Amino acid sequence: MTGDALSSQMLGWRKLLRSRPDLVAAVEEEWSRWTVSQREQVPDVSKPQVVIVAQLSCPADLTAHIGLVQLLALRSIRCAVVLAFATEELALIAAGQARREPWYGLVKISGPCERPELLNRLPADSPLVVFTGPAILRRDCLETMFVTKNLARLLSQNEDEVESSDDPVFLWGSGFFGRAGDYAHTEAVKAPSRKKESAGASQLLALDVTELGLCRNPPAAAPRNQWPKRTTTVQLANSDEEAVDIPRVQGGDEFVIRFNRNPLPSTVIERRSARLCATDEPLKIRLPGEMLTPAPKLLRLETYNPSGRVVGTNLLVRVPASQLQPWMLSAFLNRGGGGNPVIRAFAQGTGCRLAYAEDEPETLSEIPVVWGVLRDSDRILAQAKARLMYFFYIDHAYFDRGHGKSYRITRNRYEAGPIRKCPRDRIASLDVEVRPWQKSGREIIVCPPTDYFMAAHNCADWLQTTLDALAQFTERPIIVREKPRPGETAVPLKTALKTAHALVTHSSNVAIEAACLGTPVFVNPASAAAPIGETDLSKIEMPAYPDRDPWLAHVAYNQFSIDEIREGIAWQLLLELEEREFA
Amino acid sequence: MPEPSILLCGPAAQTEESAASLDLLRQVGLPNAVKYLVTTGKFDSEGAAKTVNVEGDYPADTAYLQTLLRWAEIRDLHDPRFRDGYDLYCLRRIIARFKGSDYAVLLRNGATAFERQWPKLQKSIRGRLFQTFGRSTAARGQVPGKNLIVDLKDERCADFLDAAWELYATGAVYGINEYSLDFALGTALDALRVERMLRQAAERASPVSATGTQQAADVTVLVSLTS
Repeated sequence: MTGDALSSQMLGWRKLLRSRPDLVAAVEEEWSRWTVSQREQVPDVSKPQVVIVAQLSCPADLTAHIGLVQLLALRSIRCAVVLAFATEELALIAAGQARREPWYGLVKISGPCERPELLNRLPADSPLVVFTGPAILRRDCLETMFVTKNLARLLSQNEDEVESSDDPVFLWGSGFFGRAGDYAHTEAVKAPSRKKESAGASQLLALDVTELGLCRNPPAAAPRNQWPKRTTTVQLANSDEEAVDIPRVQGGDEFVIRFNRNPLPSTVIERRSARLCATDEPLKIRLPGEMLTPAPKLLRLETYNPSGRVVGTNLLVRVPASQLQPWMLSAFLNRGGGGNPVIRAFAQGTGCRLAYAEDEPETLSEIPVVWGVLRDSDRILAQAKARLMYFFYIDHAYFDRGHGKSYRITRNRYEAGPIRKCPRDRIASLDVEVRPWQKSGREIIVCPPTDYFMAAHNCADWLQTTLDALAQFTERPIIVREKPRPGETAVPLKTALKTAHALVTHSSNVAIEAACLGTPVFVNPASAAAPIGETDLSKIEMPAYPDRDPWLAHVAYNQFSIDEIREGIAWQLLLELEEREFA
Repeated sequence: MPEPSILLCGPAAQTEESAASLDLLRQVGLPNAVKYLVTTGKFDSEGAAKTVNVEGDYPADTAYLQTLLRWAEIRDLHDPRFRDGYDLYCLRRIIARFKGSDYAVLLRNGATAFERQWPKLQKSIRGRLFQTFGRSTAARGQVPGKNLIVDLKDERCADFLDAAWELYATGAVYGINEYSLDFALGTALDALRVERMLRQAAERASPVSATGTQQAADVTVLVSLTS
């Protein structure tokens, strides 16, 4: 069936199945059961491995694919599942969608270019099932073929014998059951006989779930790990656009990659049939969210040989910040607030996923990119921090501020952070006024954060604590300067700073302005101005007057115009920044 | 016989497109045509059309359409598979909100030609549910997509629009080898036929009604769809 015809066929099928929610639930439950067993159990190499190729019109077809889960429900075989899509673009979409699915990493997703190669790679006697569209299999036939261990007999039959059998495999739909070698010689899959189609179609809405062989196997219990003794540690530092290369070990007919949590039960993150892998190439995997962290993760790659021998190696996998890829990112909009245009621009520039923070489930699948700390952005950030994941934070810029102008983008912090050695080209283009340090000022200006900020950063008593601390170390006059609310008039900062000895704030941008205008600043260590200011209020009488040029150059490399963000220039500069040396 | 009422939808996926879309709507002078400019932000249409901000309630669907495009590693927001899906989303929103029209028209180009062709279009759509007209959407780039007229009086209309939207929302349109709006909408209509035939076959399967002749007729169509 062509991809174009498959679309209408599968869509019609999905619509029909909506009148059988029990059937859909049974299919989903079987998928879930299979997923759990794949995640928690080591391969049982005594069972034959059957490669199942299911052609889908979109990932939504999966829960409508009854024939596929009928095979997964058979505990007497090991299933290596290939989801085949009509175009490369659709296969990429499926790979993106799969990241949020429990079966992620347990199936092979392939486009039309790779598929012939995959099938050619299979040994001629490899059991193969190809679904060319929606299908329902005859349970009694499956029992005969697989449960009663007649697989070898089935595979020795030629197609005509299967076709003329009294137990046709397909109750409804069409496809191929047999040896991979025979499939390769078949130009096109035969259309099912009219008799079979009719029988299937007429029974569709009356089918009993139990007739399909689903929901009869108890869920598998998680065994403790059986770790092989031989191990080799490998440092990984490669990545390309679509996946990360894992150096492979030789031998075995199934690869299992899992978190190394010996002796605790560990989770399988990827399973791959060796029959579907090229023998001389590394394994390409799309790392799950849990692995998108600055710290390296210890993985274990094992192969399971039919003789029962297990070969394993430890892999220390680290994804450097300079090698992050768009498929690893999710940019989060908010329902309200002013940051959505820049979040959309970021998603456009990088080519990453775009979604609302409010809709995101508890477990992150990608590196989050958020605007501000309100409207669930804070929840997303808290999740990323709790899992020690990378995250990107976008907020107003240090210079050329304002919506539609420039924004700062920082990684795993809210501000620019420690100074890296950056060229002066970007700060020069911003035309920032930098005045000499003022060393004869009198009063201290204290700028408290907003209530929102204090709540989000858990520093509700910041102003009182700061005033109390200052009282211990200075007798200078103190002026508290609240952030002017919209419509309020206030003395311009430049004027207020003319006679100031120092400015004290948490991490407000006012510290950047003050430092540029020559007023020493005292800030929280998280502030972008911390590298050229002081963070210890006991030194309020002894401010620092460092060279500001390296800091200014660095800060300018942490902020970008909306056009630079939309065109992907900002993303490239951020990756390059990660490679720059610290000053 | 009263003039049929027309719901005229001018979609603008970006604020910059709003003025051009409004210009198109202005050019249509048909009686009983209610004009809706669908924007992504505030825009003053100066009374020439009702303005609807489709992003006003922060829908997840439009963000997801963009995500599908990016997962497919396509940067161009003019890609017809994205843009047709987005415009179809706008049209469905307007149809759901402003009920009672006889026809819905997604107007993306050639307003004067549309007005001129309207009597002919009205005749040709009879019994067809939908029809596209205007310039081609096949080429990628800045070319606006074809216009679309949908017969809202047809009882299949709601199911058809749902099925069409599902093709875009699930990413299935990226699996169509030679994509066009016509082909996608035709696929949606085919899906309705497939569903109907399967359902009818199942309903006829009772021991009394399942005659060989009847089943043979069903099966002929089923096989043609699967081959």
